[in-house]
Amino acid sequence: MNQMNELFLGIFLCSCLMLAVSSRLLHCIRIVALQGVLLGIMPVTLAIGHGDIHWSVMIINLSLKGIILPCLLYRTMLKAGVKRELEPVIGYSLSAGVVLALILFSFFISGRLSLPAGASDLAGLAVPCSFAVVMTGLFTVIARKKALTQVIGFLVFENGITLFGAAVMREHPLIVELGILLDVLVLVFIMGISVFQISREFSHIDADRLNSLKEEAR
Amino acid sequence: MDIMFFPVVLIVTGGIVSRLLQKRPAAAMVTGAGTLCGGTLAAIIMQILCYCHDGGFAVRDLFAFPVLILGLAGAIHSIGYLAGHGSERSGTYWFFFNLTAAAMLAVTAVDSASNPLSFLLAWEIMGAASFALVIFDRHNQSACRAGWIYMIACHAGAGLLILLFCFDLTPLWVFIIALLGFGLKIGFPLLHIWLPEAHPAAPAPVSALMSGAMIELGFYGLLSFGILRDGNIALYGWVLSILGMATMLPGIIFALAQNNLKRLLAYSSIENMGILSCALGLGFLGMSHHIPGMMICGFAGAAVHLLNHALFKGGLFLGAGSVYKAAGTLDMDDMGGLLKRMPWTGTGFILHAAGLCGLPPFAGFAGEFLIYCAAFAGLGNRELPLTVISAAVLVILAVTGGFAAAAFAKVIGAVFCGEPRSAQAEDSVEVSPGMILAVWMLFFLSCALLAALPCGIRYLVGLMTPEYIGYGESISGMVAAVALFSLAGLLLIFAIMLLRRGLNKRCGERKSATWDCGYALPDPRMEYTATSFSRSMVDFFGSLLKPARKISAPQGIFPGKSELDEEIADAGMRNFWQPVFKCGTFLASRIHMLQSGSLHFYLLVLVITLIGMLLGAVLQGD
Repeated sequence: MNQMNELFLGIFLCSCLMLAVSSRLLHCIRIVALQGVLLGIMPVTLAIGHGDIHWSVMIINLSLKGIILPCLLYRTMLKAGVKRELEPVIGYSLSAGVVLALILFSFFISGRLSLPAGASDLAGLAVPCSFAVVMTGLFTVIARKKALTQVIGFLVFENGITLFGAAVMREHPLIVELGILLDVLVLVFIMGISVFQISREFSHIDADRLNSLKEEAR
Repeated sequence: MDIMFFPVVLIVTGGIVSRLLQKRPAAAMVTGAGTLCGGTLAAIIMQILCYCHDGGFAVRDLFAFPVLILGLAGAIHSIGYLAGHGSERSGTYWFFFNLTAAAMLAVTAVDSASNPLSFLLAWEIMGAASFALVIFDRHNQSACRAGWIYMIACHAGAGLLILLFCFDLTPLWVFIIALLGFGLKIGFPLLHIWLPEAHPAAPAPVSALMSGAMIELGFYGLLSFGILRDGNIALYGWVLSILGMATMLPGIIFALAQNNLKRLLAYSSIENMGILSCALGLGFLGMSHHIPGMMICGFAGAAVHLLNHALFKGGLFLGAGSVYKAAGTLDMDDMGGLLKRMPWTGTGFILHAAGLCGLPPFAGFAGEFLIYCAAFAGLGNRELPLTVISAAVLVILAVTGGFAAAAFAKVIGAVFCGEPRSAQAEDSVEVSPGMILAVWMLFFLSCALLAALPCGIRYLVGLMTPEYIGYGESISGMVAAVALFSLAGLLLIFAIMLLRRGLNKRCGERKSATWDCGYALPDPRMEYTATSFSRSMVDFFGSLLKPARKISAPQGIFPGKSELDEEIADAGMRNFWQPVFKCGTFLASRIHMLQSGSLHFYLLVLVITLIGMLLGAVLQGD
């Protein structure tokens, strides 16, 4: 089973790099959906041979992160009429470089972290991966202009946290997992609504143009 | 509850009622001035009764005395000073004046050791109320600027005091923070910048109260809170005496260079605070090195000089107020010849000035004499550092005294002697009797102080342990001789003046111009102005004073209009605070760049912070 899990983690890292270089929003949504599906499966594959399998978590994760949220994002994309991120804050080739650097940084960091006693034998690989996913998510939020891409970045960020939890905490409290899921759902709803409102009001969804809320220098 | 709180309540109530009667200035004035005079007089009588009853006399009574006397004199002077300008707002004036005086009285009356919070409260009310008085002339831009500087200084001081009261600090830190916090009131170098701004801006009675009593309360605070029994007494002595020397000499040099009468007096206040600090420092040095003569003379000199400064500087500020009232300006270059036009105020001013310079036979001499005695007592010591500091104090004190005499010679020469140099000065007339009374009252009090001095020293000696009594006796004998000599001198002057009057009456008096060196047509423009009088000394200290001169010199055979404009900015402001504030503004503008308005930038800052914290946590774990 371990080899399969390692494969999944490798796919996670690759999806991060893909997210960094893809300009098409549809592609980004697909990547998020892929991550969601993997997250749904991984608790089960991790738990095989160790005991309880939370089927409910798997189903909720799969359906919410793998299906419902990507569908919502796709709908919003269609409504806002935006297909591509044309002028990112940081260019695509540079983005790839930065994400690579972030992955290296996460390996550096997690080599020095002291993990709790109950961590799985996979933690050595899963922890740097989850850090890399978290940082890629944050990087996407910073480096992209469209509000929709920022929502995607936020989702990736959340995926990273979930991955960390799934890999490190074998005894997963169900209620915590459900709480995080509920959080993400509500946030994505709010962001989806605000993206829709922004596009209706200004005929664009560029977050960097929303900068009139600062004090002018005297 | 101290018995001294009843006058405080009376004065505050009078102030509030006076503010309520704002619409009727006469009634407001009667209420405000009446309660202030009544309250201060009652407090004085109460103090005397207390003294007669149990014979107790504490340090705080020493500091309460200037407040009471100057409150009384200021109230009497204000009646005349407000008439004409500012009378329609007299309710406000009296409210804040009474509040200031009451708060100052409360500062001395609260038991500061057990109740620092009440002390802090009274201290803050004192600062805030006097701020309102500094900007009483609210349409004047420079007064408002001075007010803000004063306000900032007050609050910086109060902030340091809160630090002092809130934390349990070691004696050294207590001393340092108290030195900074109360030093802002006293006017130690670099902390003095509010004095030359606020004193000229405030109405004269307020300047008198602030300069004569409030800044001395800084020493009261320093002695009550900064100096602890288990602290290093020798350190206190060294710091206070060196700081005192660093305060008095620049203070008097800057005073000498000023052309604004009240600004000059303000710098002279800084100088006197330096002398006071030196005297206390010598006292503490004598205490730590067990030299009784030095200790007794230092502390007694500080006490006498404190009272002297209160009376003389109060009188000088009140006199300056009278001059301002009569001549309509504070610029000494535009005055001249006022002694003939206002003889009573002028004579009073000259007597006060002579007293403040420490010239015999006035009370000022006795105070400085004691400080000199302390320095001489330290000089005859075996320890080299003590000898050096005593010698330094002696030299600096003597130099300062000389400059003080020069500064007041400049004031008297430019303001009262010669012929008027402007139309306003030409038309000035003697001020109302109340204002004259206030000035002369303070002078007579200083004479009374001189007479009471031997008793006071003997009282001080009576408190001492037997080993010191011998020294105390000899010092009290010396002081008695000085006082006797001084009083005899005063009487002699008075007798000569009477004799001169009698002779004049018998022989007849002829009035004519002052001897004019043979000029055919002397003109007031030919005489020395205040600027030209101090010119050579300003040039001598040019590197310190850095006078900014704008000259358009006469040129050609038929010269046109020529002008000389000289301005001397404060050295502490120019060389220290302005660069500091400029640096602060620059840093603030840099930090303001963080607020760019870009969402992405904010997120980036957030993420960088998070990653930094993560890195910090991880690397710390190694």
